[in-house]
Amino acid sequence: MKLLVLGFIAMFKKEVILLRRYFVNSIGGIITIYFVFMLMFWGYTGLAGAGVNLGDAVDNLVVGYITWLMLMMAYQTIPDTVLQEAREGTLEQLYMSPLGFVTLGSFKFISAVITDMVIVIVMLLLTMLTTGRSLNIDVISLLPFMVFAIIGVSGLGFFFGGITLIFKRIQSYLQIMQFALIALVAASPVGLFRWLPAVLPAHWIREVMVQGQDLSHVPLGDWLAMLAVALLSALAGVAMFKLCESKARSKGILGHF
Amino acid sequence: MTVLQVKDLCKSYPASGGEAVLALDNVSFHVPQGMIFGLLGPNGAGKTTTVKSICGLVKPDSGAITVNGFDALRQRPQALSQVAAVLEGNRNIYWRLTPRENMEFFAAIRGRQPRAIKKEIDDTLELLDLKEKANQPVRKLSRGMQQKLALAVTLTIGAPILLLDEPTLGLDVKASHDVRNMLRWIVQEQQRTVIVTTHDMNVVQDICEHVVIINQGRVVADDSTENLLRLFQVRSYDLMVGQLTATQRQSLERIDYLQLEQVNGSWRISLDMEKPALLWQVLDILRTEHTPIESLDRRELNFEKVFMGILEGMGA
Repeated sequence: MKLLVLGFIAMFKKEVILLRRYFVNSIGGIITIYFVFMLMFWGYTGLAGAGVNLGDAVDNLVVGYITWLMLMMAYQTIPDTVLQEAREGTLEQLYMSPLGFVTLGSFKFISAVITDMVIVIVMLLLTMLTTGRSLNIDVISLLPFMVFAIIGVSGLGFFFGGITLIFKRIQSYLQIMQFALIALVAASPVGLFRWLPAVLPAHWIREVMVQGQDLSHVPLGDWLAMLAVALLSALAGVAMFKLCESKARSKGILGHF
Repeated sequence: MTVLQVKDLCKSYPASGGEAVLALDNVSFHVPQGMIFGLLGPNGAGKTTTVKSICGLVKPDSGAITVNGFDALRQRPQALSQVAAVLEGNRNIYWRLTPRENMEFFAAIRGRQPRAIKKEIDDTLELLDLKEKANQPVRKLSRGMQQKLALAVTLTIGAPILLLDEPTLGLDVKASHDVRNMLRWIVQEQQRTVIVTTHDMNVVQDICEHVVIINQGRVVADDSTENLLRLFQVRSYDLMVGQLTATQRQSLERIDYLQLEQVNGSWRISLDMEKPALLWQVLDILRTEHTPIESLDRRELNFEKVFMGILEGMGA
């Protein structure tokens, strides 16, 4: 237990130190993300034509973009960590911790989600200010859906992290997943889509923020589906990661870049 | 007391074309506590695979590794807690963090409370002349300092066994000297065991008490550095003579286990004294022309010659 606590604190502290030390770089990231949103927003309103009241459509755009941003940053954490640690030569050191990389990677994932949340909140405020829309930010209602969505994409993160462990240079494939995430965030939770990671939680995030619903509106079936999908996705991702890890150890390429 | 036991370790890697490349072929050796142990071999000999197997980074096909009583394959976390390693020199640390932050981070993920070892971290930084740079990002330090920091990080982890891959690679004379002294200090004062892999035979001769030489995946020598030096030293003599006739040269060149070369106008006859009859044979050839002998010396050996000799099968 002591080792787990020390490991988490160490990983979180490192994230905070790097965020603070490279603050200008972080600001640059926020500006870029904001600029991309503005292009989308102008394009969207431009297509609709002047004088048209887009109302909920803009709200959905803002919520969808913010949800995608949050999930994209979360998903990328594991593959990016594997890639960066391998490139820097520190991956083997992490593997030599008795905690193992999956635990340390999970700590890094949680730390990154917490620190990335600063960027997500700043972006949410900026986009609301820019569009002039007011969204329902009911933190208590949003939190469980965010957690389910993030746990779900952590599975994707570990899945691609494992593949990164073996092939290392797969950035182009990782980028494709960013577009796949857009589909997951935008999809309606009907039929098979309901059972894909983050689809149902993203739907409920929209319902809370745009339609003003709260936890009491969520049916039991949706709770169970969100829980099952999140856990199964995370477990499948970790299982794939462990499989790739074992393969990389057999091939002697664990830390190679 | 043995702190590391490697037994019948085998490892092969898949190669293009489907054939497996044998990296380790029944490698066995043991490392006693409290010494600097050298693991040597030419490029591709299997050193790195051995070291990474010990660190749990490579999965061997068969064999056993016991680290301080823990089975490295079945009790991986326990075995890993006994080992700290520098595998990529100055790349084993975070360049965007400071030396102090690096030491705290790596100590914490190995189960040591950074606050509890603050004095130890300060002392280690002081010992390695890194105190003044303790709060500067690592990327701003010289390579020598980065390499010393990588060593400092392994010390703060607190493991009894340190595995260092090429600890002096790329260092200038002063920094290399400092690192060697540091390694001696670690063994003498902290009673830890240091296992080094290196291509620098001066380092081996200077600090290693015992060496294992691996070639083509097999252990070809496992002895104390002193014994290996002695083994080659007593066998080899250099006989310097002035002039040799063509007939004498031809006669000498026909003899096995003898090397003949011209040095500054004289001739050096290097003899393998494992063959006692050889000396009489050589003296007989010299006597035919009453050739004067300028000197007869036991050959001065450095470990590089021992190493090359073993690889070429002379030590067998």
